[in-house]
Amino acid sequence: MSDAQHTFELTVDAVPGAIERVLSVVRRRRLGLRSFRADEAGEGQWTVSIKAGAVPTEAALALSQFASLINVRHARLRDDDHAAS
Amino acid sequence: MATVAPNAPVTPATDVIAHRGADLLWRALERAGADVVFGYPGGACLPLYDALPDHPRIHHVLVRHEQGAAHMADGYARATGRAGVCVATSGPGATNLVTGLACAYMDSVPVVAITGQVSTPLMGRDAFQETDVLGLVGGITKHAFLVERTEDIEPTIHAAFAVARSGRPGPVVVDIPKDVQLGTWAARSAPPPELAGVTGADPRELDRAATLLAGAARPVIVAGHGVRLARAHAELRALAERIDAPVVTTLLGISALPEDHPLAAGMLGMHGSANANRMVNEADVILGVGLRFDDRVTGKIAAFAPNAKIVHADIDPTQIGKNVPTAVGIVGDAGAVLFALSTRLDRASRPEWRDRASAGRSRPRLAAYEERIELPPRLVIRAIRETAADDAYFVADVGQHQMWAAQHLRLITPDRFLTSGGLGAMGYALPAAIGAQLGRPTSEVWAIAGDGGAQMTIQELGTAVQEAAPVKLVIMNNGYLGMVRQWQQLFHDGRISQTPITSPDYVKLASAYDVLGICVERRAELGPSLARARAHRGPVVLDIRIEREANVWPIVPPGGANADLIEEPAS
Repeated sequence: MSDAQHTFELTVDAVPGAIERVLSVVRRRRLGLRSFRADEAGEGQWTVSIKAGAVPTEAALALSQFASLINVRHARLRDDDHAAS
Repeated sequence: MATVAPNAPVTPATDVIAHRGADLLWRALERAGADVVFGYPGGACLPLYDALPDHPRIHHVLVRHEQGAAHMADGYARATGRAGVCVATSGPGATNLVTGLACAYMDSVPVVAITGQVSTPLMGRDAFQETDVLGLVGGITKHAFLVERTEDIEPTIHAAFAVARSGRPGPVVVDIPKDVQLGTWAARSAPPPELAGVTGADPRELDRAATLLAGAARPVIVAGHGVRLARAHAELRALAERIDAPVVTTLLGISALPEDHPLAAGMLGMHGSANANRMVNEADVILGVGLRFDDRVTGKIAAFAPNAKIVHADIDPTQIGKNVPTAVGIVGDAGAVLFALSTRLDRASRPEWRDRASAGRSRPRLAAYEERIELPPRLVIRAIRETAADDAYFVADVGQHQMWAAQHLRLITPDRFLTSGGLGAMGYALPAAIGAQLGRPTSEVWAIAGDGGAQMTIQELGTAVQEAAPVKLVIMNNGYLGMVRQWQQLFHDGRISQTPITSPDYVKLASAYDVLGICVERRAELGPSLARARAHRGPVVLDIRIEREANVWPIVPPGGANADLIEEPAS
């Protein structure tokens, strides 16, 4: 884990198992979770904000893995302006 | 772009007649093209089995253990290119699927698993045979659905097939509570949810890759399972021949290029050929297609292909750059990428480099000591190859015999080698072979297992008999968990701990299942026994008493670089 902080912003379908799959990426990429927040966003979706202290290469890989999840509709890494959807 | 041959087109229901949820499930499976389903009934899926006789287009195979159902669906999928389907009840039924699902996940095999669940009012109350299936399978499936309403059954099944087959294939679980199965739905089903499609490869990355390959003096193509899943054999061969680049494969990439092709240089990695590993070590550009460069392939990452720039092409964007640093990453279907590169590259000729591949292709002769012993393992594998049909399927279990099979079967027909590569699940071979046999009923299917793995799922002989599946199970019996014993011998100071293993009398066991059993103890018996097994119309168990302490060579020591591989000691 580095001192740098990354913030992932996700739009996630509000269906069973979706949040667990997001957290699974956080765990397996050893992102160094600092905070996790999920808010109802209407239209059957959540917005999820994850603050993490991962090294940049792992953060980029995590972004790619978030984006590949079936229930993740949009994924963005705010700090260095990586985005995928 | 799909990477496997599609099942029948998915057609959502359009009628408005009331149906039970259980009927909606079978109808959705029929519409998805499922013709064979491997399963085991239980309390939480009783409604499904109650409705099953009303759906005669589905052939249900009653397994002896749910692990067998998942492996059979996996073997069916690998042999046919279509999604395999398995069914289990809640609780222990679902937990017994786990190994098979993990195996399919690691090897990117499209499997749809249906699990019964306790009724929704009981969920979360630790009801009888309740498990949190979504929580259980999260890390070993591509996706998992919990169906909470009867009207969602059909669109969820359609979505499950789409997810399982699209992009990088994988297993998908659909968990259906009992009350949802029992409910009725009279209106039209909702359309399946939208899924992100796979876009074509980035032309700029293709151009960069082509530039690197055009300037290479010693290019090597590494073909992984993705090439086989995409059925991209012709595209691989065309590119390799166009740029005169040797092809090495991963364990699951075996037979992507016929192993008698002049550019086929063998398998690389821990038990790969010395020649393949050396070529990768000397390569200046590596094109890896449809693989993840896992540790069994690369050995010590820091020392992998030290002279090469790596072009990595995979349909799964999360694999690019995950394990090895890449000069160029291309996200796309293996066939499309290989074709696109062929169109960007001029013909090239590298006769000396190509000859290196050919040198590695020649079969090593039996060692002198192998001529003195009755049944050296390599001799057995070669005898199986010589006996079986040219286009037979070979399903290897996990362990020493798996590596001997990979090294010595020398397959010239594509997609004939099935094995649990990523998970390394012992017990895979017999059920997966039954699944392959039922998917390819006119083909010859040989399962090759050790005495350890065979005993993990031997009960599926009952399934083979009930289904009249004429699989030939070869047990390479050395009285050891051989690969672990080998590691104990080589890397743990020879302390043999819990690896000697006894076996039942396999001939008697086979007889109890009404299966032909043959024991082979002498070299002279080997050929005639294999021929007898092949000629027999039903399933066969061959108990072949191989040399007990033979080792697999070469071997890259754990943590070592591929260049450090240890070749067979002269003895």
